Amino acid sequence: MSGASLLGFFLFLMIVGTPIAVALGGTAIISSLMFRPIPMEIVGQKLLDNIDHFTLMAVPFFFFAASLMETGGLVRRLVNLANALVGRWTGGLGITGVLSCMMFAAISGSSAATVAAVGKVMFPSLVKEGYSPRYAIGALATAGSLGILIPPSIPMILYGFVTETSISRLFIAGIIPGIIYGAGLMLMARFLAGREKVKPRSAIGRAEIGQAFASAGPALLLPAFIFIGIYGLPSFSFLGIEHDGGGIFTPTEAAVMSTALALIIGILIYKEMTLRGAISTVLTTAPTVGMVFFITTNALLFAFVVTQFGIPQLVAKTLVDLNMPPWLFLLLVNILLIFVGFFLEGTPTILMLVPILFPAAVQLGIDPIHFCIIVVVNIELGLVTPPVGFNLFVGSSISGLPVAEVFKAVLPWMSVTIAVLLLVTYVPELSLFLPNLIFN
Amino acid sequence: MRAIVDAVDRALYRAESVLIVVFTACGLTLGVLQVVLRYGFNTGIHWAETVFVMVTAAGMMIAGSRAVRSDSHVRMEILFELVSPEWRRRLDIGGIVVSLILCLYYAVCGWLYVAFMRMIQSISPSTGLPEWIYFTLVPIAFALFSLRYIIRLFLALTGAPPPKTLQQIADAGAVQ
Repeated sequence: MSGASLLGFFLFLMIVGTPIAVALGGTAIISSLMFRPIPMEIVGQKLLDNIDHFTLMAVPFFFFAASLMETGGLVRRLVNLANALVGRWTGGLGITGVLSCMMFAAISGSSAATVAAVGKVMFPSLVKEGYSPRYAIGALATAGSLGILIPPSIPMILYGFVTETSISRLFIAGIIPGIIYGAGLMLMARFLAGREKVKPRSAIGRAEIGQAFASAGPALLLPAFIFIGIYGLPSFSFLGIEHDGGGIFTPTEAAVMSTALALIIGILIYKEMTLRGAISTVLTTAPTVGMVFFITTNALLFAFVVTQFGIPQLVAKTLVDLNMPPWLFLLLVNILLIFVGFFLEGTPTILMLVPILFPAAVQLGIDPIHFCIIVVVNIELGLVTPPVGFNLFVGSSISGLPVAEVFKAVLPWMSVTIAVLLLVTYVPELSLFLPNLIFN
Repeated sequence: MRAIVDAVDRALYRAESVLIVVFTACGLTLGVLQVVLRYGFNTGIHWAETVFVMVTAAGMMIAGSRAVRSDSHVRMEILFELVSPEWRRRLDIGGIVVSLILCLYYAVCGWLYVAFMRMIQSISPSTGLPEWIYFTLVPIAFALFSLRYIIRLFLALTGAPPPKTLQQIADAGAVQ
């Protein structure tokens, strides 16, 4: 009864269009008042305690780093570099779009930021080169979702936070699936460009490639900095200098240092950003982070009430009692997440559903890291499916095409996302190979 | 009345901007300082991590209030996309009222917890400061949220245009 009321309140508040955070918090409060009151002082304490965690502070700083990179001219240089490397191939500029998204994804933890940042630079270039607007926006809206699979990743931070899984392990687990996904999109870019009969660009000389590398060097420092910072260098002993290996800083510290580095590169090296511009960027980005934090605190309050009602334990027990094989559970999880992805964004999906599904997954012997990658790829799919796929709206905003057209444009590219989803679901080694190699 | 609401909105906007920038800058400085001290000089400030989390969380709570102004708190848009502008306005007003009630409730809950912390005189082990000072953030932030929702309710009731659908925002080239 209490569980059904909880679901009923929540669905009602969601459908009438209250903010998701309010729907979560409102449902938690109403249900607790009706069935198992939480003292008001405890609610007051939980509102801050829910977000007062060092791990969670990586979220704002990865958001800020991505925005500052865009303002500071780093994105344009990364695009130039990608173009110098692969632009001469058939479908080269489309492949450049995918590669640029992969490069930007290695610094940004947000999918929308990736589509917006790379899309603004790449979309006009693609259309100018003779690619159809449909091809261009399909490539960018889909490849932009790589932003949350290739580390760093905001959804992975939130998943690690709610399940107490190591974020460093989650980040590294996203690399192989991210590369496979990127490679698949590049193949699709080439195939579709062949159908559009776009002429390949003329080859670029070594000097120009070198110039592109030199120009993008500081921007490339950022992913290297994050990677080496979190995972460290292998142990070595050279000329009396000894290094024991191991990470240098935590993912949160990596986020802070990336923001600082993006500021330094944008203001002092590329000189494309002023201090006033940086402040303006922070103020423009902050509401998005504030929104994530408001959802987080409410979702954790919701999860607290859900746990008090014993729902996650009930779900886990039911599935175990049913003797459900893991492959079937994962199939059902995928169907559920794809359905939810039609209506919800990644942040509430993770914060609401993972606390319910995670105990069942663990009881069925599914590795928490593998489960995270499945959840993230599902969220990627949700980003490009109507009616609320956020990348479709960002794509529409960039291209001027209606959202329905952007969705049609995304369809062929989405086949790659579905193939990757099936791969990561049923080949756990793709997600677990690197974490096991590095951490065991 | 509209002039008063506009003045409150401007004052809130300035206060939020200053607080977000100051808290974020403090968080960034402390975070960088801690990394440099720990890995460069093998030392650190024992309260830095706690204060880093406190100021960053404070900045983002205030940013949450700013997100009310820009209507950036995500919601399920499906019904909004289907109904007429007049119904969209009604749904919007309903959503604002529910949000306002929740934020006021949170502000009271936060205030009660602050009173409790003051009563037991709890001290933070890492900063040495009374803990109620930090927890004052909850009633303050949710009072700001509530003020923002009151302004939005006033604007919605006095004929401000209904919220745009995502498609309309996308048409204006403003989805980021």
